[in-house]
Amino acid sequence: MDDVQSVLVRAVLDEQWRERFDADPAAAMAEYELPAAAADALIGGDERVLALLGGASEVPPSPAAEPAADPPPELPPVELVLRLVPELVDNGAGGFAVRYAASLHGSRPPPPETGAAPLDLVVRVSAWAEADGAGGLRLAHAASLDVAGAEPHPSPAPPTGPDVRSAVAAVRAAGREARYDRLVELAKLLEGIP
Amino acid sequence: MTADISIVGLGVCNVDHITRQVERAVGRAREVLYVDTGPATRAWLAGRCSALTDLYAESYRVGGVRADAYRHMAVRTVEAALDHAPVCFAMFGHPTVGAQAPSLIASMARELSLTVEVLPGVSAMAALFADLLLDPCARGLQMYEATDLLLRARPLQPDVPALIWQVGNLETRLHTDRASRPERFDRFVRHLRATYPADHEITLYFASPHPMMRAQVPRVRLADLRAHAHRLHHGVTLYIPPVGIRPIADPHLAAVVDDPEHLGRHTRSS
Repeated sequence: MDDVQSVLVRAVLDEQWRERFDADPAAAMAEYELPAAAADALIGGDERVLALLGGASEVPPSPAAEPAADPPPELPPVELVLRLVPELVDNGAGGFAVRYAASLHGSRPPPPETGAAPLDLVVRVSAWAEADGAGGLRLAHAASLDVAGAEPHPSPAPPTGPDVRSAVAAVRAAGREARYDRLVELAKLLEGIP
Repeated sequence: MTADISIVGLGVCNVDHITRQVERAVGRAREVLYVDTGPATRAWLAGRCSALTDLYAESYRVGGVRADAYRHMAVRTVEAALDHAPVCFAMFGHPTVGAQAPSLIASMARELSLTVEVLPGVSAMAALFADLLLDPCARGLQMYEATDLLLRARPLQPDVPALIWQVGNLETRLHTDRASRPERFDRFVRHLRATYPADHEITLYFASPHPMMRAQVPRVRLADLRAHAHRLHHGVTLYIPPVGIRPIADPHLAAVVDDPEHLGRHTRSS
């Protein structure tokens, strides 16, 4: 274990050393001969510590090393709101019926002061220009729909039955060397993987 | 009664978050199989259990399917429990947040008549609530896994705070440690732009993974996200603050929420 790793482990497991570090970081670190950059990072406690923790991909590269390409131009997003307001109306036979009043808006209108709460279906459309692969630009767009009260798709039922029982029996019958493979088969069955 | 398998969370700040409850489970296990790359994790576990298995090193490979890694973790844990229970599966963070292995362990254990307990750990979400002073009861909270958000084109409510998980693993189920290119986030930004303005400030949150490193909370404009691709590693969670306030939809309820008579009608007299 090198000195950097020793410091990282000690900071977690040695409470007294950690208190000394919190009180005077430079003095506590003087017990170690660390590269200056590593010592600075540990005393600073910033994102440079990530590299010392082993997150190689987490070291920010020099901006000059990989400049970001210009983002494609965007067009203003558009929002459309379809508002449905339920109403109780006389059905002409002594009872009531429900009907909906529908209206279209360019943005979310305030709620009505009286009556039932409205149902708003909000469509948001965004458009942008993107490279067409031939040096030019083409128009693309995407939309999202906020639908209140949408019925969820039913979840698949967990697998049961003779296949699972057979897989369990195979695990129990397997010797130590074969047990791993039988457990993988059981796991895949429970995951629904053919 | 001791469970055959204890599934426990080690928290996100290398040992500092471990609860007494988890410490007891580790101490009584005959083997601890763990997924946590913190520098002090193994040393801490070794002080409490003599048989340790580093499942991170065993399970992940660059370009490998992450689901295969999770299955390997589950199978190795159940295999150990069949041989010498009780065992402990210990993982970074909270064991049922952003992890498939625990639920698969539980499913396999149920079929094999092994008992399981699940003990919580401090997740990045709990750390985020503290670091950003975010109260999910105030304006609600919506959260999605980044790739799932795109796959299903899930709608976002602009007036509700949003957490987007695993943005560093965007658009893949394969494992890699390599840094992302800016273009990786174009589709993602377009999806967010359907709900949020270009200059909306979002936080690239990374919980403190070690006592010597503070939580990282840089804020960037949504339109500039691609320029920060190198910072969007697999541990980063995006916090998107709300835009606007949803108006009251039920004025009748709003009129009585501070009314003692209304409360009296809904509670027993003593």
